[in-house]
Amino acid sequence: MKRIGIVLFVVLLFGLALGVGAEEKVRIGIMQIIDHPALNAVRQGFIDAMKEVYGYEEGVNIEYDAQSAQGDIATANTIARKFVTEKVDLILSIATPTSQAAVNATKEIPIVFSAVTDPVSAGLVKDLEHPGGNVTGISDMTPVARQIALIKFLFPEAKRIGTLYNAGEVNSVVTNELAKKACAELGLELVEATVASTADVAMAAQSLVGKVDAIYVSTDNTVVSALDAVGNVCLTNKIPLILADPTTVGKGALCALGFDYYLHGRQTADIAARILKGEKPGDIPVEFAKKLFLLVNPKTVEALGLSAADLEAKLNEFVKAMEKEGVEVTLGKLE
Amino acid sequence: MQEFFLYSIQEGLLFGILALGVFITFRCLNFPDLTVDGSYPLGAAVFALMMYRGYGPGVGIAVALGAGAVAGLFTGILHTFSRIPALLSGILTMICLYSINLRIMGRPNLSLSEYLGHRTLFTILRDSFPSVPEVYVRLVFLCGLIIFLKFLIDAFLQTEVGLSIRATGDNEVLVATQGIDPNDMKLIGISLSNALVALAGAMFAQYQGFVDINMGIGMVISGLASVIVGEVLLRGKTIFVMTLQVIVGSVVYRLATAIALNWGYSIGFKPYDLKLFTGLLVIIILSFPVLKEKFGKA
Repeated sequence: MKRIGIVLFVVLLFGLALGVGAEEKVRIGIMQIIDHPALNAVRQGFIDAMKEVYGYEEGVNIEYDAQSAQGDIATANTIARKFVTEKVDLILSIATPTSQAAVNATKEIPIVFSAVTDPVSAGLVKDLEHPGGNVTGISDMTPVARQIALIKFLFPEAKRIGTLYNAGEVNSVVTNELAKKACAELGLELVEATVASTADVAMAAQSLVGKVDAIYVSTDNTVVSALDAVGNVCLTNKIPLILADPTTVGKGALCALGFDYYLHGRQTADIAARILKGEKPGDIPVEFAKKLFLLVNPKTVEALGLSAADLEAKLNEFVKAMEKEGVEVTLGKLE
Repeated sequence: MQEFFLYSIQEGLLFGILALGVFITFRCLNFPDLTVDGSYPLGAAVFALMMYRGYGPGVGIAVALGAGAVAGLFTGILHTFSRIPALLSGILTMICLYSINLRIMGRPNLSLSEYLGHRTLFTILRDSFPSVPEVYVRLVFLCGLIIFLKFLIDAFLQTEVGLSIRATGDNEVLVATQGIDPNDMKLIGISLSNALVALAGAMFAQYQGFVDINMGIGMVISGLASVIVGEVLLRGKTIFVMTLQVIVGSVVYRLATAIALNWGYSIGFKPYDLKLFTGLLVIIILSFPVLKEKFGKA
């Protein structure tokens, strides 16, 4: 027994020595509401930029605990509590309900939110310019007005624009209100179809056929998950489909104007790095996407019977107009 | 780490309110009620609406209780009057409630943040006892609330109506021969159950500081799991013990999920395994009596 005691003591001392010698690792808790391509891209972009730009390498000087609530709100709260009791150095919360759970769980640990459309009405921050407290982040508010303007610019004779969204997603409801406003300002009518699950998407898209001159899909998670169904309906009926997420333009859309969620994650890392260097989250204004992409799908251009040269000229004109307003846009074609 | 347990216990006590509701339908009435997945967010939605209209948490809770009772009554009428099977009645009400909840809230997610000027029961409690850590204030309050509810339900189930509700669950025909309409008992029981569930929703909304349309998903299962876990842990058939079982079961169930989340990853547990874990836990507990019988004999 005695011998075991001595061995244990030596091991303990050795462990302590190692512990003292090792550099203190930064610990970041990442929580997202559900596994979803866009949200996963945010997480990956964050981790990549932390490593490539700021030298935080996983396992070396930083440790991540990435958790997904699997759509369960109660679990999101438990995850937030876990991070708070473990006293992580920073919480990255991806999407609205997870961010609300985190903000509710701690007033001390810095929280950086990402992929939240409207942080003020979500109660995350009081003011976008001066968040105050321990919270700041980046809003994924998509440039709805510009997207609607693009449709009007490409199809000046269009009168009615169809759109699909899940009325159960807060971000979609916010963007839809903006779309309605943008349409009204341009003299367009927005025809809405709502879905409750991915199973409803095909039928909802079909219901718009004959009623609209173009279809616009914003960043709605449910509809984007079933985008193939919308693309099929649009191609069959020769309706141009315009998206807010460039990464999904291959699914039968004509073009997409928006930002890339991976870069969104990288931009989130910029904020996190500033906080880790000692800046107060409350002093860092909430950011929006800095770079936009306009991506065209040549296959759809052909399928719709449009002239590729005409379209390209028009898109170039549109991009130039945006750049005059100080928005950085990259025009590209889907390979 | 201790703090983490304290928070899990709090959540267990909050979900204990829901589990007591599930207990009334599932155990007393023998009525598997799926309305819960809709009436839980209903309570939260109605509560949030009242907050946004400028009312205090007391009014919000009262209206939530009423709304839950109405939702339960609706399921009860579908079952007793329209003779729709129990499971289907609950599912139908639950589906209707999804749209109704969206209507009530006006949008799928409402914040109850202090930034937006909302003062919930928990913020009021915190400000009333500034020298005590918030977690203890909440814990004491929630313990008090659940004990109060427990004794209220115990007392109710001992009354003539309460006894008739329990008898209806055991033997409807016998109840009818005693001159009691079993349908009335079902309507009362299901309404009461869903009023409790809506109360749980309203309380949890305040606890987490926001309401989300999807917060009801899986609530029936967690309620049932709590009831069953409690029955395995504590023996006894008196009303006093049975309601205690529900509360203990709810706390233990929450602790189990918290532990799975917290330490599971060290044994290769992934976040998306949580639902499998929940399912397996309930299956093992449900199979417990059978396993014991088989291996006890051998």
